[in-house]
Amino acid sequence: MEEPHSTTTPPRRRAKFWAGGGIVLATLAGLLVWGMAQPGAASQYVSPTELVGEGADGATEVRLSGTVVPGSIERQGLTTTFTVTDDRTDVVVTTDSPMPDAFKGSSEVVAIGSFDGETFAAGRVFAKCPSKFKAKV
Amino acid sequence: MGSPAGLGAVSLRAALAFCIAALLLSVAGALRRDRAVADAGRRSLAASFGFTGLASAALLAALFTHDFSIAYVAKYSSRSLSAPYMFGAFWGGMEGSLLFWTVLLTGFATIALGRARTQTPRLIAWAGAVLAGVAAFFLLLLVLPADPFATLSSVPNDGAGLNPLLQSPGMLVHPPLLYTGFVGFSIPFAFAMAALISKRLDTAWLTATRRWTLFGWSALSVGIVLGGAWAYTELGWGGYWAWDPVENASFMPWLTATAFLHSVVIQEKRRMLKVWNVSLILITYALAIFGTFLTRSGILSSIHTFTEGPIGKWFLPFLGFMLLGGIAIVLARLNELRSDNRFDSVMSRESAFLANNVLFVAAAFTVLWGTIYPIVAEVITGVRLSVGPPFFNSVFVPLGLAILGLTGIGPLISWRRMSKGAFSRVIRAPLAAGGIVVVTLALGGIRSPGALLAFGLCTFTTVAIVSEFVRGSRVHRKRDRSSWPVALSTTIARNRRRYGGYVVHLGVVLIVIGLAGAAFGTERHALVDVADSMRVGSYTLTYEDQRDSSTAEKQINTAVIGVRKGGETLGQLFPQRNFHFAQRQPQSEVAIRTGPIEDLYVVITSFDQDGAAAIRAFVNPLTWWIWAGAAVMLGGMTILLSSPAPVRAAARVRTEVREPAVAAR
Repeated sequence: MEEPHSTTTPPRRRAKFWAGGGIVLATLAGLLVWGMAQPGAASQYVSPTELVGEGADGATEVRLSGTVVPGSIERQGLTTTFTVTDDRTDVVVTTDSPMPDAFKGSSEVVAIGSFDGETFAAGRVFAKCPSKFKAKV
Repeated sequence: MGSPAGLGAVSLRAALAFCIAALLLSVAGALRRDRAVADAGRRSLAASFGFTGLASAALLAALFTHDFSIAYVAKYSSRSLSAPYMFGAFWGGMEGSLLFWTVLLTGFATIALGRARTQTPRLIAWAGAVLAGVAAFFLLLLVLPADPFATLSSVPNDGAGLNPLLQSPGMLVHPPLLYTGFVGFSIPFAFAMAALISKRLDTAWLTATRRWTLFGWSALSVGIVLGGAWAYTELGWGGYWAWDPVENASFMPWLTATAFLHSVVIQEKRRMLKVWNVSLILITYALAIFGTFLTRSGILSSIHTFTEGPIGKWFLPFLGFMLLGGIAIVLARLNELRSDNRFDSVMSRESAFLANNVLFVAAAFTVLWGTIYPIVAEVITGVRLSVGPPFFNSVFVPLGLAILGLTGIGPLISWRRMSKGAFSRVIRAPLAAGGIVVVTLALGGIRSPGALLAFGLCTFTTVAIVSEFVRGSRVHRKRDRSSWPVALSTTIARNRRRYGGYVVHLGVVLIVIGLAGAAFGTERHALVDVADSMRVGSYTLTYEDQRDSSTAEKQINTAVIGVRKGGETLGQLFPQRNFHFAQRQPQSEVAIRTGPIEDLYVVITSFDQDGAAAIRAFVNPLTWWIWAGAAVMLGGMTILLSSPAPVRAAARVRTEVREPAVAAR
């Protein structure tokens, strides 16, 4: 049978292999770095205390997590306003987004948005739901 | 003992005992090359399956008889829960889902080991040992930290009930399919490990498990699509995939398993990539176990992690042992795993397959990165992070499009080597067709480069695949003088593996068309009074009426929405905003008007006291094609799975060329 690459010596093949592999890996690494740099790719979880302590620029997207203060929920049209607490600091959250089904007083929520120093404007709000099924048993 | 709890607990312990016996007997049989001992191990594993099945029956009986003395039954079911969803409750919680996993594992193992009896005894003995080892781990979980039969000291009058979101037909088939997929990969994994341990490193382990790989992969594929369909029709946010860790957990093993399905073809035809293949199945199975761990440990705050269970600390050592052990044995066998052949040219089907593999593994790594980045970042910096869809989408569009392009190129290239001239001849027509579509759409006003490229590549790949069917049919038509339809079905029937694969690829193309449609979606959220209207896209939605009714489980509030488009009345939609009494929770039921061009998707997010409805409406173009593509994929999988069992086909492939061992180094 034929020996197709008799001119290509093993070391050269190996060099080619590593060069090709290096290019592939570098491309993929670049893709990952580029992906992580996209707006909203990675956002930090903060508690109300951390949010107020760190100050605000009104632009950086963070995930505010805490407990909804019972009785603080107000709806006006599509806008919902409520207070999130970690028992030390309260932050007022306002959002136009639809509220999750499990959202109510004293439920744990994650609000994604930014803080301007007074209110936290959330684009989306998630409620953590599993605990309520547990609490009843 | 007379109660389901007693029966279940005893059965699980018996299953564990038989499983450990199976492990010891299989290892002893393999080491002493004693077939009778290894056979006893196999039967012992079958007995373990019997007892796991009995335990499952006991749990189902407890669910159906409302035995709320069992904590699991009280937690995940209620008296008002309808019968079909008792099965949903069976695998809806951590303990039950682990039991379900175990009964599948022992069952699959029993069938696979029984069927593989024609194989080398030592291969089966070691495969049995690996499977028994994995099953023993899961049974240990069920006996110790995740006991589904744990009882309550005070028996409640009624149970907490199943999460209303899980009470949907999709949720009755989605989890079992995912688990079938995960557990199905146990078989190729076990045989790969057995091949490594016993140094039987020819293609025997591949041919013995090919159907299991396909079966597991098919189940996982359908399961993932059904999960997306469930999210789309139940969750009400207008989409089908959110890159949630739980979704990622099922997607990662799917990606590596897809790579594995392709790369085994190279090993069968060309005896290459042996290290790669055993590594891929090891990674796939590790990811399946990791996926189970992710969903069950609560390590990531995912919106639908069921529970923050105590089993995380069990899974990590097991996973670590599996990975390290697997890597160690692969390294120890590197000499035996050397390729019999090597790549002849970049312009060869081998290279196309290899590129496909690199892309799929890169895709899996991307998902893994985004999924575990928050854990790693928290451990290192103490900062809690979340990696969201913008990351995954931006990386997946280029990776996905490259894979799509290769799907078209792959079948056109010949094995070993193809001249540039021959390649440009076969690629001309698909490339031209793709180009025409891109130009036409661009002139038609489509500006999104990702979508243009996607539609162009979809056309390219479709033309390439269809031309393969035409070429095959033409040969049969000439030879048998048959009509086109007969020639086509003969073509497919004669080589089901190849053409079944192409049908799956066509399904993937349709799915990509559907995914690309998301680039053109629109969304509106508005507060609408009765008899008022809102617009979304080219539709006018009129909130005509609200109707209330109630059942034992929930209060139902239905909005009657009149749909018009361009002055033409298209009918009514009936989205609901319901209140579930047992869970004291509202839940929206989506109304969808679906079609090949676009879906109109309407959700009521709340009703005001004064009767106004907050209506969220989406126009989702081409989403229909995702489900259509999945149906085509399922057809292709059926063709693939119906292909006759392989008779060591690899041994008589014409491309087989043995080279001196020196050349392969």
